[in-house]
Amino acid sequence: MSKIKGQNFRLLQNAAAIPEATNCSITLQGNAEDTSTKDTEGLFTEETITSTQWSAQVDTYQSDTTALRSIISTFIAAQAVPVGWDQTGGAQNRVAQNANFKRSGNALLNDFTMNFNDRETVAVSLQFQGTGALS
Amino acid sequence: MQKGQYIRLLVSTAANPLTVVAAAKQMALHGSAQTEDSSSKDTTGNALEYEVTGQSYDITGSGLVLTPNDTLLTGAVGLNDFESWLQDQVLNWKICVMEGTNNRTVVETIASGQGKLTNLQIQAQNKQNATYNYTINGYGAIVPGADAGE
Repeated sequence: MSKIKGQNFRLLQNAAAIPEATNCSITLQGNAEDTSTKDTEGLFTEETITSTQWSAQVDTYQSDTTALRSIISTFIAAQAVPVGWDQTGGAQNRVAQNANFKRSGNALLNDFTMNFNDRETVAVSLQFQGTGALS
Repeated sequence: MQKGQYIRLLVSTAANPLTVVAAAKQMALHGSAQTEDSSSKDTTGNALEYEVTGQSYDITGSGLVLTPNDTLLTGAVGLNDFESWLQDQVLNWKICVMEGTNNRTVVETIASGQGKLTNLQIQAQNKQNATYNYTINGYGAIVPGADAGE
């Protein structure tokens, strides 16, 4: 049994690991609709998944000024960018392993927060809204 | 890694030149996009497709309340200035990497734009420094790097 550690499960943007990340989370959602009818016996609902969507969030210490401007530019462009995730390893834990966990798709950068606090490392949070299916 | 004290907010108005916020403690730039499900019957599969239909941003921060004659207010802005901006007044802002004495020499601009002060709160807890928190709502687009309205 091989357990994957958090540092080896990384969010990728444009096929590259988002640098200096401390945490990431991915949400896959099936939107359910209650399709029970009068024909349904009993009191319970019967759900049908009518659509799916996904999103991803990452926290980083991404403090390089060029990277900060790039984030703002990506946000302003309002265009989907390649986003995915994979098991990673190797140099700086950034080498995609193309393992069973690899997923890729396109997503909009729909939220970002850059925290510039006194006596703290600059911290950045990014939220991506997936658009279209994952492969 | 870059430390927060070296990245500061500077503000100018039509009447006042660009000056740094004195004795700042925290500052954050937050952008948010309004997205809309744009998938239709023409969309193959079950996955929803989204597009951005609106964008907004705000700058929030906090600082220490200084007495009006504090030398740190020389060439800088403080609570009194924020109070005067709490009206329908366009502020020009820049977020810059700073260095030098009191971290007040601009090295590099990260982003700039225009905004309006929408919220100002003063906190004065017993046995603690008095502080204030502010929110500047973006007015128009963020400009990465380049100046806006200067």
